[in-house]
Amino acid sequence: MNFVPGERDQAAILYAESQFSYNRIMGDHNVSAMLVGTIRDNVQTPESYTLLNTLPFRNVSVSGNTTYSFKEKYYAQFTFGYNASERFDENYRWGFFPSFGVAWTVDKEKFMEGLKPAISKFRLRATYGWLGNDNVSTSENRFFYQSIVNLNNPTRGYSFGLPTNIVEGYPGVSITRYANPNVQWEISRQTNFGIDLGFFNGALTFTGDYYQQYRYNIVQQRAGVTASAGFQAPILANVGKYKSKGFDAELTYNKNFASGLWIQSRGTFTYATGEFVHFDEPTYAYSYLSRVGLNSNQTRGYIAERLFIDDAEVANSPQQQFGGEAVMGGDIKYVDVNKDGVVNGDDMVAIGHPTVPEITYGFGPSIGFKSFDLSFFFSGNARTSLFIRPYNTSGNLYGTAPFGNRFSPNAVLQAWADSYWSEENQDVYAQYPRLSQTATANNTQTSTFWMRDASFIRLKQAELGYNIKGITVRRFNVKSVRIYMSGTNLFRIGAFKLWDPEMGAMDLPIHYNVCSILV
Amino acid sequence: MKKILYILMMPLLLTAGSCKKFLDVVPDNTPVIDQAFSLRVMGQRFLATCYNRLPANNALGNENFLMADEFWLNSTANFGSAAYPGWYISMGQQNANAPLLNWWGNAGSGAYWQAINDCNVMIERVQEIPDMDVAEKNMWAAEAKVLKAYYHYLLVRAYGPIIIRDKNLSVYGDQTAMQEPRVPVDDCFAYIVKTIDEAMADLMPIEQNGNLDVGRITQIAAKAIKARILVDAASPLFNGNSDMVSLTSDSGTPLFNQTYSEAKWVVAAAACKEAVDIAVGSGKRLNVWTPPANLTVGSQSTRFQMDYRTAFNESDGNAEALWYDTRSIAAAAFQAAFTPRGFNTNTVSNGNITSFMGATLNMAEKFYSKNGVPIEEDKTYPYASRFDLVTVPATDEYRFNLQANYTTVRFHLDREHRFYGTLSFDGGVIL
Repeated sequence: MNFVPGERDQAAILYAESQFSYNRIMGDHNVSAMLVGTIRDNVQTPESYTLLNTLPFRNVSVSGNTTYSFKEKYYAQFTFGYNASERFDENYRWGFFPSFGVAWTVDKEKFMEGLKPAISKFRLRATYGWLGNDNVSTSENRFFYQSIVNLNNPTRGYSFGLPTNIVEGYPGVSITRYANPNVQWEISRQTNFGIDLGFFNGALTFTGDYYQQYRYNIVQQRAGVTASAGFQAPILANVGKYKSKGFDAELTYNKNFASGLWIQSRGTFTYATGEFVHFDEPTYAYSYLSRVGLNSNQTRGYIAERLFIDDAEVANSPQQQFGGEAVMGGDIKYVDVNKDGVVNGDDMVAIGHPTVPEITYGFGPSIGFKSFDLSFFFSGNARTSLFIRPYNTSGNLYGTAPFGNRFSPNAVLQAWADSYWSEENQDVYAQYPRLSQTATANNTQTSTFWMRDASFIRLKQAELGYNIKGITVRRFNVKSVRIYMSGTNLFRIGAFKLWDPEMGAMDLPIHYNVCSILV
Repeated sequence: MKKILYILMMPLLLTAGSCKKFLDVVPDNTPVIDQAFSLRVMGQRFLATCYNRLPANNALGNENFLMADEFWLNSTANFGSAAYPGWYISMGQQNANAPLLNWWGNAGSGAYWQAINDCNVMIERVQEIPDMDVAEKNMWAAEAKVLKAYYHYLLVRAYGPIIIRDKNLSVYGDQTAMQEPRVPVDDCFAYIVKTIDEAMADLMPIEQNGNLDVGRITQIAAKAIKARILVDAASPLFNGNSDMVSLTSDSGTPLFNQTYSEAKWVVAAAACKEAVDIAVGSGKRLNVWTPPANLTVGSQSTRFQMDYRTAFNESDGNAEALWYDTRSIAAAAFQAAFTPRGFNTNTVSNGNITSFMGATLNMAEKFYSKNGVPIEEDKTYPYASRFDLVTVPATDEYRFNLQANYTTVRFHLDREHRFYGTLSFDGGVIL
């Protein structure tokens, strides 16, 4: 009786809320207020069982909001949250986060009367406020005011006595985290401006939002700790600062024509970018090594010039110091950015666009005429780079390396088979450097050699349908039947052709094209 | 009015009431470092932690092997640089950007700074343990001191001038306090020797509980360590090393003392004599192998070879060992790597023997000739024709070490006992 117990996943959530709200209309003035108190306790099965993982997550908050509007034209709002979380030391547990908002419905103004129905809706809005974030670590690293000490660590122990005789073995003591009572809420301060426009009685609408966000007190590892202090764990503190900005826009067009033609279409556009204002790091000799001013998803790496043509060129070029096997002909040649005669960590620069796209967009109409309907939707990314992983050392996947390794063999990508450096074909601009049995430290460095432009536009969804009218099968109570054909991810236009760039640095290329005909 | 006030109060009461207790989720007895010093049993674990980062000699990838070009491995595919960095150092791949065997950093092998931190905590806090007597507490503190000095020594040996970490830095202290200069090499050695001297009196003179104390620092071990350190300090690498004249501190003083001092040799010799005296006085002597009762050993050469081999390999009854590395076991995988494979698998199966390692010719040439001098200096040794082929004569002089009437290189004949006791080679006899 092969009994295999099922997964035991349990969660218990206790949530209590009390709410007090007030509404009053006094002529043209409309006032409302609300006060909410909540308590929340969440206990759940953790992924790994340690004492700290099984402790509950608890939040207490008092929040409230008051709104005021005048003549339904002018709006003002004030919101606050006074939140507490179990993760911080009691001196820093509570955080106060207010925000303010105003809005102006311009189309209700007298001077806008003449512009209707051309401009049927025009609304401006702005908000400014603070938010706190207590999710500054994984669930097992939550309590920074506590140290994490393992008093029974077998890898840190020692045994006394000759191994051939009876041995006295002791486990050791190790520290995974030092106590820091000063860790507190991460705070973000955000400003948002928005505009809603409607034209021709809502046939054409536009919504736009522009935001600026400044995050500070970001929990980060201190960089100034010397190795000679012998600390066993990284030291963390609220020192990071990051600012970001972006805008979202949406445009829709809906129209029903008398002839039976109807159109509904929609387009969206998002742009987001950010940079570090402060990042705890040592004072570098070269300014380009600093993370300040870079996006949090910005990759840093080496600039690859081309491949070495042969061993003699390796001997006559700046030494590339990565340890591991000796550099040979066919390995990637990097640029010595600071011209100090060696290629090392001081030559790493920001390369490519952020790995999370800065721009995403989409558009597509649905069109119908009499019984037919056709809809399609394009979506795309721009301003993003992806880094091909030549060898994946985590798990058992061996990246895109030809044949993998003896533990997890791979097939060979056509792109690599067509273009690689070899003694017979010393192509310095080949797509793949010299072949080797194992990953070489030199060729697996993050560099522009493996960087690709991951921007693309794809036909995400297309559907063509026909509504058969007049068919009724009384027996089954069928009143109408529609036949349609739909496809997903039908084609893609973009610079990167090896696999779907939305997969990122995936090791196993996956393509999916679904085409179905359904009734 | 009152009713409104009460209603207003409700959400606040709900939350403000016993908030503090509600939000204090961590139970009271979670492990903190203080508990390591609350009982003798826990204190022993911390003492073991201090010993833990001594270089372990039980695997090829560890920090003591392969750097000196003494062995070579069969392929970089089998032995990558992450697991066997020593070999890549001997291949010339050491670099400042991604150092192999990065003992200064905290990751990977030899995190000696962390070990020094542990020893400092031990020294500061061992007196807090309630159920121990003062003499034993002092002994543990003394062992931690000698270990601390030893770890500093291992760093000096690799990096030259280092930072002396006599007291731990505070974890959340000012980071500018962490920017310390390197200390000149002479001062490093002076500090190391001073620390060992301070600890000497409190150590146990010899293992007191028989096998249970093997591996602990005794006075015999401490004096031997001190003698070794002083010999290194007097050696040309650290004594008047003019090659390192350009390594200076920020103020311009050279960190390697440029003046050769003979006094260092005098001090080293005195320390060696002291170490020998205390060892001999406790019954230690050069190892002599006793053949088992049912074996007749004809050749004196065989006895010398076995004396030499058992001095390194035998742990039971080894009179020569002053301080044991209790983790140094040549396990199966290790032995399989350096045992030669048989050629005729029809008669002898190779089983798991991989034979991935070989001693280098460089090392084989360092052994002396049978006259006890280096082969390039021995007037009677045919140095120029040492790689010519000869046939081994079937005489008693040769037949215990080489196969009689076998053709091999001249290089293998007429060598010292340590050569035959250490290496296996073409035409050799495996004892």
